[in-house]
Amino acid sequence: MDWNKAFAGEGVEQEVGSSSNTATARLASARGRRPRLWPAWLFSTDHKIIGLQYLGISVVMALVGVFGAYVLRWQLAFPGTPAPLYGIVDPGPYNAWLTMHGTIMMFFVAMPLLLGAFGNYFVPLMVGAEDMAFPRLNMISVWTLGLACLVLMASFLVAEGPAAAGWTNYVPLSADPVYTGVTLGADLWLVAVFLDFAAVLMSGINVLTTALNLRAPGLTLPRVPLFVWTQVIAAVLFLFSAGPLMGAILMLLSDRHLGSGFFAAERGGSPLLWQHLFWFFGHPEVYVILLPALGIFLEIFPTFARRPVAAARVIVVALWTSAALSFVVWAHHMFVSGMSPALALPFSITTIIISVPFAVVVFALIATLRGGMLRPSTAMCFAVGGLASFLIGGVTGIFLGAPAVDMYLHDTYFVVAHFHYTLFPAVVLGGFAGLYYWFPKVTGRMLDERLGKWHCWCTLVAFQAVFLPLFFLGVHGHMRRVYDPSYYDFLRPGIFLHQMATVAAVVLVLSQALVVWNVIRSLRKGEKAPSNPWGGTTLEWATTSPPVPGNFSEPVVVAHEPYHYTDCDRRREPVPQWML
Amino acid sequence: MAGGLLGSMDSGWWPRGSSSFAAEVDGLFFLIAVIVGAWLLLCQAALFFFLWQASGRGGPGRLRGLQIETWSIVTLAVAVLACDLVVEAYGHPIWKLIVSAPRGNALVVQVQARQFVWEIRHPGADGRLATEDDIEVQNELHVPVGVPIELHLRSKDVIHSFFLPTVRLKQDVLPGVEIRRWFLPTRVGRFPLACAELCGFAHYRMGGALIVHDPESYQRWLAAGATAIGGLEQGVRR
Amino acid sequence: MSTAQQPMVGAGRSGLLGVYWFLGSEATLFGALIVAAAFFRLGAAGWSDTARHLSLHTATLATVCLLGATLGFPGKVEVGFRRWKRMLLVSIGGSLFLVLKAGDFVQHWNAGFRPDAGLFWAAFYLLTGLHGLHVLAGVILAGWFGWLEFRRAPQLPLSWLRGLRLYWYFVDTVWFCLLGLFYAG
Repeated sequence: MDWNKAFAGEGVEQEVGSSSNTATARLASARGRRPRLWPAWLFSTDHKIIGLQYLGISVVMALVGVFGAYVLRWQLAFPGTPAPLYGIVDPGPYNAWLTMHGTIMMFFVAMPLLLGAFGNYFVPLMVGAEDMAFPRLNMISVWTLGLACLVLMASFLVAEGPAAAGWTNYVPLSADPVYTGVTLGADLWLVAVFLDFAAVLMSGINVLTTALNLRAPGLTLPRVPLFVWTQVIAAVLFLFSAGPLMGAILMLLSDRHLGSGFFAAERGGSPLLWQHLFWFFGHPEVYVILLPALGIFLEIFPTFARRPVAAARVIVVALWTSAALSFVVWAHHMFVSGMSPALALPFSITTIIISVPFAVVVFALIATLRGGMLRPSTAMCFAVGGLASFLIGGVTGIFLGAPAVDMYLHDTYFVVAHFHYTLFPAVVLGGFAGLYYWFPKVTGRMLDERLGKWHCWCTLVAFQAVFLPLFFLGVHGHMRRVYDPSYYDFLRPGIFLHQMATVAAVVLVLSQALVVWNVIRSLRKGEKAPSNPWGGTTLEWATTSPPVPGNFSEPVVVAHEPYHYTDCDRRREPVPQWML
Repeated sequence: MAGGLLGSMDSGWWPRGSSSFAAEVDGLFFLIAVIVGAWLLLCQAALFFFLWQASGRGGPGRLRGLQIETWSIVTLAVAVLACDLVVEAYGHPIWKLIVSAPRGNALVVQVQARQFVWEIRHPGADGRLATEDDIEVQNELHVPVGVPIELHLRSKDVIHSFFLPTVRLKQDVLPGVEIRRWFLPTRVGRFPLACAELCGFAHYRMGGALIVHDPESYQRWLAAGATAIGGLEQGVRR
Repeated sequence: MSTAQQPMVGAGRSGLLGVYWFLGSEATLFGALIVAAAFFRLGAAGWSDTARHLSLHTATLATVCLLGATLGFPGKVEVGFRRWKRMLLVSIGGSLFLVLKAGDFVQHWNAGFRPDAGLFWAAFYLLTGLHGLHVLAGVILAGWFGWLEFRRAPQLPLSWLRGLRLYWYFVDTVWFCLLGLFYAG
């Protein structure tokens, strides 16, 4: 019995496929038109189409999340004045928007984009598989995510509005409607996050199994590209960290509706338990997002510097080390939470030590440029800008890992600036780097490089202008999640920095028109892309652009490790993995 | 010394400390800033130097010395670890100091948080809590300068966070537990007090003031407080 | 499609590997809840006293049913496994377990021991309820597999049975943890 086929239900798949095809054909003949594409597209089990579906979901959700950011930023810069396209921001909706902004960006944009879209599309291609290990599970996973999005968006329509207890959803604020005035919205938040996690779990099982079991002949583990490693590690991290928060969600639902008191102090429960479970998940979650972005950088750097990644095997060890350490650092989010202060020592040691594996990856990326022969490109521009920005986010984490300083900086804008400096380079800059890098492969068309470079510079500069000021607000003691900073005398001098950040944020959003225009134009009349436009060395460049159904028209066999280059005739030539 | 340097900046972005351990916290911040600032500059410089180098060459680059790269990276990572341990070794005693019990006879003040109000119960002239002359004020913490203050922090409803920026003290306040923290005010004046944990729709209005008196004005405040529950009106804001 | 016949590196037990990953994440879900409940048990006096309300007889009987159902899976799946009777045994054992648990729930609920009656009961309903849902899923799968075998229409892949067996072992393990937590007062 063929195991893969059995579990993927491939036999059944073909039946369903063919019957739906005939149904479509019948429908088409009845209407006298050519078959419509969308049902086949919607019910596809092809990993490439599912990857694009993930991309679509994350872009749509990003629009909501970005709108939320705009509403928040407007209120902070110009308190009490009506925001264009929105109106006056009231304190209740402000809290709802800050909750939804965080939730959407973390769970419904970052994960679907970096794991769902990039992972789904490129892991099978890069390991030389024709599809995911479980194509139907893959389809169920993206549907579950879609359902989760609908549930979350529905909370905007219910009477008291969406959840308003922050994306960390701390109890007791989130446990009892009397504290926030939100009833159904809070339940919808819990259900949506639970469904979202179920979707990512299914996707993670798929990625892991594909990367382990469906590798092309010759693709031994040391030859696996670093992007695939980061996807595998991210999937393992999510698999072993999501359970506690899913359990906590069940407990909180029980508290809210069955009258139990897991998190209620007056009934023997513990409010801190939620924080422990949340952050046990929450810190690995950050790396679930970060590692695939580093993986994108690790693909782009060698391709455009045209030389091997420095210390590639050490990087894999470092990534696994950071993943293992990420399970024992969670209480650094809780130094001032009221847990025993004695716990701060072990957790601050692990937290500060986790900088070492990331230092290895960063040093290796930098060293990868040494002696390279740079081919300037938009993808490289985003990757270098992303790395340079991420460095700032990385080093500012050390301040927060020292408990005595964290006591001052915790829950201030310093934290906000710090994690935006890690997550924005990962999700947005990493995402754009991946877009400009892989767009020719996915669509068969080249993007306009000149427009792309304008887009890159606008995004990079505007991003710094949004978030650098927040560090200054943070060291000034500016608490986060404050609706109206002008309420405090000592915060009033900082409002001009808020205004600067807000103006920059608007510029940042508007400059995204460049990429929208670039994509639309390239799709319609872009230059045709060859199969390997950048001289990449990994397997996705072995097939046509866009890849044929089944990914590879002829079998691929891997000969050696990726990122191989030779000097000949005063030229630097890539030696792709599939070439002997 | 480093802390003193930062602490002496009265205006600007770093608010001047007003407690005994503020200088230590500022010093630790400064130490970390120097260490990570150096690493940050080094990394950015290397990144852009190699980028410049790689983009400038017309001829073939060299694909040699890759082994040395691996060892340099590992060595640098060990150096990062060493810096981490310096930060930890320097920082931990400061944390221990902040979360330890106060030295000497501390004046106990009880802080009870509920949604959007700090209810602060000061000891009266007898210097003890839970007696008849206790002075209850909303959103204002009155303390004499130079006397260690022990805070007994509680919450009636959700989690709040008691934040005194100039004292460099922040402590979440939990329902069902009493948490004790201390500080020793070193400067007379009026300093901000804020809630730093999202606690509901009027979270942003849960502010107040720390008022540090010199001994005379503290006596006057005690006397006035005994007759009228002071501060209610001016205490509503900030 | 042409690569379909190619031998892949490590190709083979994808299905089973997927089940392993799935159970790994399930283990962290149950693990977190069980650790939380154990933490409450240590912190709360009177846990043992409350535990006395639970009937040890029912628990023993339920355990026997669950383990009996496990016997439906032979040690080696390849040997004589294509028997719908075995799957029937699994579903009957699992169903009996569920009936006993449901009886337990109704009895305690009517006696006033509801989730709001204390942390013991809250944890009891949440954990045994979640475990029961897993047993139910297993029963449905076993019933379905048995039906496919009985019909003999499409051949039942061995990997499905291996996966279900693994899942059932996991459910057994969780049940023993719950026995220790709630019944061994």
